[in-house]
Amino acid sequence: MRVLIEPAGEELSSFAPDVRSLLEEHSLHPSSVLVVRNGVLVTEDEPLLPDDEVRLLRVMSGG
Amino acid sequence: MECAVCGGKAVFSAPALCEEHFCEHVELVVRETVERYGLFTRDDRVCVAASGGKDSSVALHVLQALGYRVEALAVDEGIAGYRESTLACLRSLCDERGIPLRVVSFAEEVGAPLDDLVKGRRPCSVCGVFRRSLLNKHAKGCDVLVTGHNLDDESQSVLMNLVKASGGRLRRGYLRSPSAEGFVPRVKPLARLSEREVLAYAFLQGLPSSSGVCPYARSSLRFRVRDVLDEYEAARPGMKRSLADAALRVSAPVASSFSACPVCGGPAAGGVCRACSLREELLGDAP
Ligand SMILES: [Zn+2]
Ligand SMILES: [Zn+2]
Repeated sequence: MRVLIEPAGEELSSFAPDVRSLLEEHSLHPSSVLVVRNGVLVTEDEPLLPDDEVRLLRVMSGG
Repeated sequence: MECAVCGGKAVFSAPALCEEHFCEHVELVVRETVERYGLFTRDDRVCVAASGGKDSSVALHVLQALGYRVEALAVDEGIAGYRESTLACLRSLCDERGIPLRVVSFAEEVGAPLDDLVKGRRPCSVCGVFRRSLLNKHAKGCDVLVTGHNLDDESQSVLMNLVKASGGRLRRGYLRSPSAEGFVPRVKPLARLSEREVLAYAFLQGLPSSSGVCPYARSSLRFRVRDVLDEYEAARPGMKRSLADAALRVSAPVASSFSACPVCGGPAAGGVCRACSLREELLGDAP
């Protein structure tokens, strides 16, 4: 599946079966991102499919 | 994961809530913060210090939804490649919702954009002095000045004040700054919501908010403190809230005594205010 990290704009691909393993794969703590699967906000237990488009929104303030 | 209220599909895990109940939760936390700590009432003129970023945009949206009389005040510091795009977000948010917006700039009010004022100083301190002064000046006539500080910001401030051994700052009002002559009280209605909750709410409501990060932020102590706290929080969830709670417990806003600055009339700790003396130092004659 395609994974886009925002706001950095970094793009990568992954075969992780669910959100939790996707985050572990990239050493991201669940509290540091929001996960949007096909436009919908999802929790860590959400299963992922090869055709999914996932956006990881980093939690940080711009000031 | 199921919503703890209705059993529907959760969009957020801590607390586990569906979209509808998560949004209700955020609005309830803000309402309770405002009411319980007496931040302002529905009769008050509420000025929101807005930037186009997610925190102040959520503050505008939620406070308007709760029926408060909000208006937006933005400061264009003059940070090339950053502030233009966040202000564009803010304009479209205010247009969409019919929220009155005023934008004041360092260039006009101070005499030069921040980029020209820094001159080897710490940008965040220079910026902070003028921002505070301009926000206070232009919020005059309003009953309170809302800032978008969330729980993460507050926990960082607690740690920074400890690091700098600034006990006075630690006690000086957590959710509401003390009132003083010539000083519009500052209040933080989002201070009981985590940064992640605020971001999720902005996403779910489709708020036009900029995700840009100020180019100067990386040089600040706050940035490093945030990394440390994020690490601690991952190891021990709830730590940020505990830090912020500790500040809430010791905070005892007392009326501080300000005198009017002889140059600008703004609040000063005796004599010329910090903004006027810094401007004199950086630019020579006042514009
Ligand atoms: Zn629900
Ligand atoms: Zn002054």
